[in-house]
Formats: sequence, C-alpha cells, structure tokens
Amino acid sequence: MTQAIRPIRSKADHAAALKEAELLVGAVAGTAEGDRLAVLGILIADYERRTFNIEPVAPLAIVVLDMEMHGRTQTELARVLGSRSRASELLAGHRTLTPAMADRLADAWKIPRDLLGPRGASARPGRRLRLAGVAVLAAALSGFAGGQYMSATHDLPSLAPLLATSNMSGFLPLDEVPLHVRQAFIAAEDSNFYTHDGTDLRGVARASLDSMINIAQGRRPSGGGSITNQLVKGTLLAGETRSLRRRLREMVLSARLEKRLSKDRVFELYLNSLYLGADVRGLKAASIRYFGCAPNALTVSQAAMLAALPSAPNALRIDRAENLARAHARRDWVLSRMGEEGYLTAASLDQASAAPLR
Amino acid sequence: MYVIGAGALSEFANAHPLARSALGALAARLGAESFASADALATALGEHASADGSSVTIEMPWCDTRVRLACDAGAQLVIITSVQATSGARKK
Repeated sequence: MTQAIRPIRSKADHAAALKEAELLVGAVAGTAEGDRLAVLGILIADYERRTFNIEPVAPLAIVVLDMEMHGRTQTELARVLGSRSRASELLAGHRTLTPAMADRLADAWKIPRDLLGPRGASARPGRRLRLAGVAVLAAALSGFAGGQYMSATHDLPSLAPLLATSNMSGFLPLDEVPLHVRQAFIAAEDSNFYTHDGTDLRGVARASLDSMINIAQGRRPSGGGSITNQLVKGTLLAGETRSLRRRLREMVLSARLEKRLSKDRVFELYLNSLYLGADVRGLKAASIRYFGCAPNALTVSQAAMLAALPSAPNALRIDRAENLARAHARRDWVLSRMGEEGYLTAASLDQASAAPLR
Repeated sequence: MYVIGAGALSEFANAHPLARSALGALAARLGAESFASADALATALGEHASADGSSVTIEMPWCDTRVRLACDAGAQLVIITSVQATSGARKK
C-alpha cells in the first residue's frame, strides 16, 4: 500500500520526496500516481522556496539567456528595440530595460512578460526628477530667475547641426574606437556619462565649489562640464564666451540633445568634434597627429594621454618639450582615474604608467 | 509550472558563480511558463535544449553547464534532476 503523503520538514524528507517525484514522472494525470506526483510537486516547491534563498533574477539576465539559447545576436536585439545603440547600452548595463522595451521583447521573442520587469506607463519618474533638478540647479547656479532664465534661453540655437551630422569621410564611428580608448575619455571627462541626462549634477556641484575656491584664489573658475555639455559648447555654442549665461544655455541644450540622440551617438559626435590642441579636431586626427596611428592601434598609455588633452589642449600637447612634465602628470592622473573606475587592473595600470609619453 | 530541485541548482550556482545568473534565469523562465510536454519545453528553450521522452537536456556552453530536467506536463512539474559542469568549467 502506498505510504501517505507527509509534510516535508527536513532535508531527509525533502530528498526522499524528490526521489519519489522523479520516479513518478510520466504518471498518467488523474490516476492515484499522477495525483500523488502533483501533490509532491507542490510540497517540494513550497519547502524549497522556504529553504533555498533564491535571489530574484534581473530582467536583463532573462534577455541574455534567451539570446544565448536561441543564438540571437545584438543586431536582432537592436531590431526589436528599434535602435542599435539602445541594444548595446542595454547589454553593457548602461541602460535599464524599460516597460516599453520589455513589451517589445515579450512580443517578438515570446519571453514571458512577467519576467521582464513591471508593466506600466509610469515612464521614468527618476529621469523627470533629474531633468527638473538640472533646470532648478542651473537657474540657481546661474543666478537667473523668471525673466532672466527666459532671456538666457529664448534664443537657443537649433540642435539641427548635431542631429543632421552625417558620417562623412573621415568620421570615426564609435564601433571603431577600442574600449580602452572610450574608457579613458569617460574616466577623465565624465564618469557618470551613461547615467545622467546631459548634465552631471554631482559634477556641477563639485565644480561650483572648486570655482568658488579658484575665484577666491584669483584663478579661472572650474569647468565641470559633462561630455554632452562639452559637445554642445564646442559646436552649437562655439562662438559664445564663457559666462554663467552660456553655462545655463549649455545645460538646457544638453538635456534637449539627450532626448533626441542616444548616449553612444552623443559620445561619437563628441569624439569626432573635440579640440585636442595643435589645430587638431577629433580623436582620429589627434591619434594620427600625436602618435602616427589610427585610434584602433592606440595603447592604453596613449589613450590616456589623448583623454588628458581636452582639459588644456594646447598646454598639454606633447609635441612641445616644455609641456612634457605637465602632460606626463595629467596622463598619469587619467590612468589612475581608469584604475579607480575599474577599467584597469593594478598590473595594467603599472605597465601603462611606465610607458613613455610618445 | 512548479520547478523543483532547487537544491542542486543552488549548490552548483554557489560553486560556479558564472553560471548563477543563467541558472536563475532558466529557473525563473521555466516557472513562468506552462509546457504541454518535454518536447514543447525543449522547443521553447531553443537549439541548446533537446528532449528524450520526459527528459530534457540543456547545454549552456556560455557558462560551461549542462542541466537535466524531467518534465511532467500532467502534474505541471519540472524537476531539475542534475546540474553539471561541462569540460572547461570555470570556478571562481
């Protein structure tokens, strides 16, 4: 006679129940054996839920698993999400899976929707809050209020020149920029680039404090601009002189630009347009000018040196002997920032620091 | 479906952190769906899964792991019967 089903209270009970369940697999549903298996399954599942600490799985892990099991590529992901950069940022962990993306993936790849995070139309309250923070902080920092804010922003230039930039001859696509080169610029210029909305509030706050100290000491105020701020300043606002008014305009345009372009595209435009001394614009031209090679052949040390240049392009250019000591110090600072961000191991950092500047 | 056998999964994942996320995702996916048979389960999981009767073998080469399941559609039950490292499995 079959033994009565008992509660599972111990490891031994659990092991015995699991063993029996395995033997009963295939029992016809509705028979005594089939019913016994169904009840055992419920009891075992309940015991395991209480006993084993199973961590919730991130929606991104489900997407990656699905891609791996079905041999799906990043290109296919981009097709579903409607954007190549959105796919790459998602897989790199720089972007979270939004409800809209989850809906598309569930529909296209038949992934259970509940595994891909919450549904809902409450699109990114955090982003709205941060954007509001940018505006408030910008106004506060600039000393503008009411009509003064309007006077600074009513004649903002169009974003069209940046939105319409085509990948003309000589343009360096981001996917031809090695990871360590991108990391060098991110570490040196804007380590929160992939998480802010155009302006890094923490950077602004830090720069404001530095500026007060600098002004008190008779030096130039600190920059503190994000990569997007720098792109806007160097292109759309290129003719404007440094002022609090320009800073406010920079921040508003940056927020608008990031609503229209992906992070990767902003970064790509930045790398193609930034001034790197010696009348050279863009990473590609600077790489050839200073190191005689294309960006994909740059070493870590060389990448750090180029990423050091935006802060003082002419004062740090390494084709002038009088700049070498200062350039060396700045390159080492960039390398140490790369180490702090986890982009370099201690050994790689040592090796790059020991390399000559050129 | 009810997914049981989490002990084997949990022990393996502790020893092989690289596989933890993939195994967790697999268990979550199995638990969220309903399969009419072992064949249907293997089909839903894609080219790395194969069925033989009520058994399903899943190869996960990206984390050097092989998972064997028993699927009973009538009882709506998936039992994780074994989780193994395949050759070259990386331990941390």
